[in-house]
Amino acid sequence: MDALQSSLLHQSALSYAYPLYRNLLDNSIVFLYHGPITPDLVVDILSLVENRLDDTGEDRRISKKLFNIMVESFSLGEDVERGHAVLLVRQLPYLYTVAIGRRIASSAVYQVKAFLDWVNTLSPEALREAYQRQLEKDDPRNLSLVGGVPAISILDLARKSHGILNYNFEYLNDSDTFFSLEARLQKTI
Amino acid sequence: MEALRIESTHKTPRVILDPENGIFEFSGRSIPEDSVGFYTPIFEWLDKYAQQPLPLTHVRFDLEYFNTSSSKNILEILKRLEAIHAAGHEVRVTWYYDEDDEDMEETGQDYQALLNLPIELSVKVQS
Repeated sequence: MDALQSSLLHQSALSYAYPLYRNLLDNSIVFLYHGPITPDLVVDILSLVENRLDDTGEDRRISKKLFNIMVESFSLGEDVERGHAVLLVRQLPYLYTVAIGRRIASSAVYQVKAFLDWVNTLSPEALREAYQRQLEKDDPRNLSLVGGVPAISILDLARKSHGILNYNFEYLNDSDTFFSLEARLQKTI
Repeated sequence: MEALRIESTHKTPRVILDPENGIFEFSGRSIPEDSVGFYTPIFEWLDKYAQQPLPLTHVRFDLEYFNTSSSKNILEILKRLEAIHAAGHEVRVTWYYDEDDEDMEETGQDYQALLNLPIELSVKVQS
């Protein structure tokens, strides 16, 4: 047991409960998941979110869009080799944001960033063409990856969110970097 | 040739490939654990059907949601149907979408753009 594990053992989870709750509330985070992403879990989470959106009376078009963005965000988080992912949904007055975070290889950061920067320059029509080209090109047994991330999922997310994908890289060590990607959905589309 | 029937699960679609009546149907969700394992028997079945297809095949896609890995497999299914159509055996595809789901409608338009196959986009009638 290392020092960190030892210190965790002696701290009560209660000391984290309120700060975590406060953080979620202050940042309008209405949904947060941390753990491995599997198809079974995706189905369960989507069903939960769908019920919640129905309860809040959200417009069906917006609910469907948010739902589809979440499906694709989960695709980006599936990587059993690099451990758990984080998915969070924020509900702001005029928009929803869906962010997925996961580890990628530190050596892949440049490649992923260059791809995202290119995607963010594309017009809706150019994005549609890029998506179709990628769909045509990909091998169903082996989707094309950009730095370990499926290129088609990024293109799809960009299309579905009608806007710029925000991203961040947090260097962890020479092997791993934490990559997070946020798709935004305007409530007024 | 025997029909292929796969019942839906909470993460895989219902598939009916009926060679006697030339009616194919894909409905439900598609986020399989192993998309290659799920779709390969369908590809193999379609390859056999392509050897002796009916003069007219109706294909219905009525999907709730699917991930991009499945969208590639659906394209592979449609490519096989396109080949049957190109060989002179009529294939009519109907792509159903919920009227609130513009992403599903756009996906249907993507397939229309990528293939030389009659794909009709149709709004689902709410039951």
